Amino acid sequence: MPAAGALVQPGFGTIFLRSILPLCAVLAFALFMQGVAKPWLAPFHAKVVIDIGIAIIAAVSLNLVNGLTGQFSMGHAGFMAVGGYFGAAITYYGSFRLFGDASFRGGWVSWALATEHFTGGAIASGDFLFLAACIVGGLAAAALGYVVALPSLRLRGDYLAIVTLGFGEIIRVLLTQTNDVLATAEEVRNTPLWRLPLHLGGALGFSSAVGIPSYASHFWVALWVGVVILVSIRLKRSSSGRALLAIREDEIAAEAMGVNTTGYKVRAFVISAFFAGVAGCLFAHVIGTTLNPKELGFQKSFDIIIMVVLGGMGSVSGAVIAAIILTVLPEVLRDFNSYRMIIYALALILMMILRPKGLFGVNEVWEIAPVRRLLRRLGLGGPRPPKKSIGSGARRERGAP
Amino acid sequence: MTALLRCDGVCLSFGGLKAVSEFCVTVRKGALHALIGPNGAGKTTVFNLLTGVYRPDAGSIRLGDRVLNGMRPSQIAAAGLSRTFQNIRLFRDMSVLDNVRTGFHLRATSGMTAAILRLPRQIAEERSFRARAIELLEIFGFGDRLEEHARNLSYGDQRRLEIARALATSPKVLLLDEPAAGMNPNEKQALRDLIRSIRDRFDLTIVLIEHDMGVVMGLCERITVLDHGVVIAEGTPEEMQNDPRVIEAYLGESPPEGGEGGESPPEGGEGGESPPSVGDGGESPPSGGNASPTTGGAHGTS
Repeated sequence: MPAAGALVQPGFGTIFLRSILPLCAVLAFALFMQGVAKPWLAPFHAKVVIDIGIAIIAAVSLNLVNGLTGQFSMGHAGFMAVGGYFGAAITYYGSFRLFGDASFRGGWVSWALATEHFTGGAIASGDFLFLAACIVGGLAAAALGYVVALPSLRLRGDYLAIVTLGFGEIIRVLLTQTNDVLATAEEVRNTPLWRLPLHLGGALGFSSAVGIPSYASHFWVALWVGVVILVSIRLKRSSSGRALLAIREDEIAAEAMGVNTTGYKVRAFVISAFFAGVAGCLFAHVIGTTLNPKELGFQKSFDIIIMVVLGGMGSVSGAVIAAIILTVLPEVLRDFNSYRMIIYALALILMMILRPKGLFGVNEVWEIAPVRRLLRRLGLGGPRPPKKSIGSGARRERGAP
Repeated sequence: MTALLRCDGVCLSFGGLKAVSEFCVTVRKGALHALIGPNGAGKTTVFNLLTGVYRPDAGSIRLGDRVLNGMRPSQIAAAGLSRTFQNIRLFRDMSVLDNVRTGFHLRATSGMTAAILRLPRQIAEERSFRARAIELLEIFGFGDRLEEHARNLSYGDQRRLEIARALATSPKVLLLDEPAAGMNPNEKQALRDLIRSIRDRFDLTIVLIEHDMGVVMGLCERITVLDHGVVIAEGTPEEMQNDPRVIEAYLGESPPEGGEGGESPPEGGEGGESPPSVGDGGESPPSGGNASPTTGGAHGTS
């Protein structure tokens, strides 16, 4: 092959710009949300912003499987439930074991309550427990995702949808079979560690007098939102991401081009399940939440699927925008209470008629034509795409300065 | 000359139907080899066997020293066998550039973790793939249409893009399934030149399935004829044009004893509806520059 494609180690500037800077930006965004946005917002709005963030994590992670890879999974809420219950058990029972009671012990970063003040400095011991809970919850969901993926990703289309739907229901039923939550430190100490996951509250939900400590602050939610978006976009723009898209476009051709389709489908499924677990864990730690098996049933899976479809299958920014719209819309329509669901449904139907491929199709928001033109006018866009047809291309050429 | 691709006694049946039986072929390195036969003869099935879409019931397929049967299609692609499809299978909603870059995926050493962390090596690799893909696309004349969606290309361009995509996997052997289907005579001529030039440029061995006798006779050095899943003849284009078994397979009737070619076999039999007429291919000189109207016409009347 030609020598033009020789591997050249990129300079430090490139590495910083493309690899490190985005991570800093995510951290800065999370700090901004916690330090500036949260104090400025009214408590009710602040709560909606948390809901939006969790919806974004769920939608963007589902987009990896349903959108990019084109495998129709309907069990996303099941993975959220696994992550949520795992995380809640770790912070709740972990607090008892480590600190003696289950009260909130976070620092400023997880300061979610407007009324109550945080303990200690910026980061306290409770924060590390919560971070561990998120990661372990995510890993538990990912492990389960692997177990579900291996046999079921040999199936296609409808069959996969039914299997994943069934999986979500199994999780829900198993959770309703668990015992009551242990309420006192003594009970927790007297129960062996391996038996603690059997006390998750059953059908009534994970509730006790103390409740799950509410660590899900704007900082943590924004941090995970940033991470899931960064991971998705980096994947989409890499060789692996193109392999996933290729599977969606034509599985036989993808395999013939050397893409191990089963392997890639499983990997996409596992990553997606991990972030679903994280979203579930955050969801469990929002103020006033009682984690209930019903709440994370198939209805929730549908809600997330609608976000992905509406945003455009495969579009990361589309999923983000759809998650925002579909979380805000029901809240705005609260005043028209009895007509709320009708308007919601009508909006969806209209959307699908006007833009059947979702808001942006597979593209990102900065890749669609009007935005591109705007960016170019601002001097931000990349090189101008070569003109395609004589008519529209020429006109555009003249319009740009 | 050494044999690069070699099939020995490959069999495949679907239920009671023997789709391919005792298929044997040897393709030399650097050859342009054609696989022809009437509709339903099992040509595409042979390609599917070679590329691992189907697993043979018996027999062996070797590429150099490696035995290919039992491997996944993706592993076979990695071993150096790439293909195009009879019904075009491009990634329709991906750009021209991304279609070809998908082919480079095989050569990637950095996986998903490297992509998520965006390690320096992964950045370097992405840049190299991009440069190589653009270079490859410029050879095929797609240099100014990198961002065009594959579905927006014309039919002939889609076929050529599929070849470019297959080349991106840096194959040793390229399998082309009816590359000239749906092309006009000018495009067919350009395709012949293209196939010849990529063979020399990329040091390829090419096996192609084709119904257009102008392309087959003008391009290929060796022909294998398949009928009902059985190899009925193999040889040079000149030999095949006069082989009674080949004429019988295409026209469904054996020529009168002792007088092959004396009178043209009567049309109108069940099997003789729309074969690419070997007789016509013989009349027009095989190396005769433009695809002659005769061959074009013979194909068009079907």
